[in-house]
Amino acid sequence: MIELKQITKEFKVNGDTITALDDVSLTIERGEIFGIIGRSGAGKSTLIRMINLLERPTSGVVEIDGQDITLLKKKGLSTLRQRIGMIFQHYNLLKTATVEENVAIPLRLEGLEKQVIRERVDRYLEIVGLSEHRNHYPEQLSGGQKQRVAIARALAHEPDILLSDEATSALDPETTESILELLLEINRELGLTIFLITHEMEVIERICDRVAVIDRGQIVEQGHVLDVFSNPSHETTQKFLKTNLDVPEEVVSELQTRGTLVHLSFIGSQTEQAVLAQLTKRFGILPNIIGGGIKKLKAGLVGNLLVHLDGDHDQTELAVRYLKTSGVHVREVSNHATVLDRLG
Amino acid sequence: MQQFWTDWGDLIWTGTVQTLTMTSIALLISTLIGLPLGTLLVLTRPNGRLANRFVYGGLSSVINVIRSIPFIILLFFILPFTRFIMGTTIGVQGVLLPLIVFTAPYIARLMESALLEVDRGVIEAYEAMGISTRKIIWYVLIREARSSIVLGLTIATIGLIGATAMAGLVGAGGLGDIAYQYGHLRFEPEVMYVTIFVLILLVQSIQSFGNRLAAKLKKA
Repeated sequence: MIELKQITKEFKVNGDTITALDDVSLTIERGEIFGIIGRSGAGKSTLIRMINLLERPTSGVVEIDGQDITLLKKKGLSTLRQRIGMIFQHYNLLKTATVEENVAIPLRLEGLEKQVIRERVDRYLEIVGLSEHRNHYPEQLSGGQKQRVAIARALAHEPDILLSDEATSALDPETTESILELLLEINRELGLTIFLITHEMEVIERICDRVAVIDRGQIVEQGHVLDVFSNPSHETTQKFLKTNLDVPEEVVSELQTRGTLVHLSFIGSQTEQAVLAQLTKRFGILPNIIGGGIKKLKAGLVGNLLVHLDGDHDQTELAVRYLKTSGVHVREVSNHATVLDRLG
Repeated sequence: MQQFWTDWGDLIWTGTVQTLTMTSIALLISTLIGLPLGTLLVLTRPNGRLANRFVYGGLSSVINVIRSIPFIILLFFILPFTRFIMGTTIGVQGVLLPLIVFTAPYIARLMESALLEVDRGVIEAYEAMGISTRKIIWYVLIREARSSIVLGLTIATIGLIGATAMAGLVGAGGLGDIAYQYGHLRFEPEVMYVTIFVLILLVQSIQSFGNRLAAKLKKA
């Protein structure tokens, strides 16, 4: 439905050219929730703004339903933008307008009829659960409620696509959870395609079908969330994931001096197999579990374990190979190229 | 007291009406010029929506030049221009044009700073909804800035009242003129005190009205 083809975006800052996006290509399917994760300054904000052309690409093509939108004239662009809702980190509501007016004013400016506007305001305030607050001003609302108003405002245009620019980044964990729940609901029940950018792993895990990792303007990894997260191949992805296991750096480096430290990911049913016990039985290796947990992704469960393998070097190599053939994703936690790299 | 009002009441009343007339007409026209100019400054400034170095630089310099000239000098400096436009250089008609030339650039600056306070994010949100720049200017930019705009106009109004005091120099009358003519030249200190008192009353009530309106607009 949305296709970005070889998008490059350069900014001129005080005579210097800064490349914000470097040859980015992505395809977003109808009805999915697609997430972009990256650190600040990685180019996420610029990337999301390509889809409604708040920023124009220096080169490359943006297609929506097969139509190159960079060729659209003013009027066509304006019609297109009405089909694409957008929500923001700082909500961007009118401070001088009530909740109700915040939803209604854009519709009025779009030229919709009074009756239609009234129906939509009622309908979408109901969906986001703010009907009772319709006469309040944004100042009187909590962050989560403000974001709900912004979501109602975006939905009231009845768009096909919703762009979410760090929509939960300014919210506390509990509120984040409820907003994510709302986005999932919108995706399921209204069939909206959602494209979001975030720097929070949790957002991707909870609601995204597919993810792309962006680093210094380039997409370094993309795929289904389950695949990318259970088998991250790029350093940036690994860093985003590593922070989740929460094992102190000192412990990791100490363990690396004696034996091998591996990160294991189990997807779905494998979680039940006793593969670790097999290591002792088959290879005489003593696996020591350092940390771990089970994460609920949108597509299923992923178990993560940080395991220390203590044993003979060659046997360790065989054990890792065994784990891999059992369908466990194995990643060695190390600064040096060792066992796994040699295995290829 | 009774005697004072019989002697001077009419004069002071006429002066008050003249001051208010000059101030309100000049304010109205200056706002009609200043608000669009302020908006243009915000739009054309570097990184603005219609960033244009030449328009912004040119407009900004012209405003600075006019604002450098004290009103009493401006009044005489543009005499030929006043005669050309208004057909006369004396009376209320003769002083209106200099008052507008003096106040409009001031209002433009006040509007510029009021509009700059508006969060860019809101404007971006409306842009993302496919709403035209023209509508965004009116329904978002000016709407969100309206409280600061009112405060700015309050400041400009009080500045205008001050400037009208010099209108007497070209025979336009007003409270300032009375204070000068009667209070100073003819040595009638009571007249001066009373006109000053009326001026204080005017300024106070305009400022509190402006403050109250701004507070109301901010909330609702």
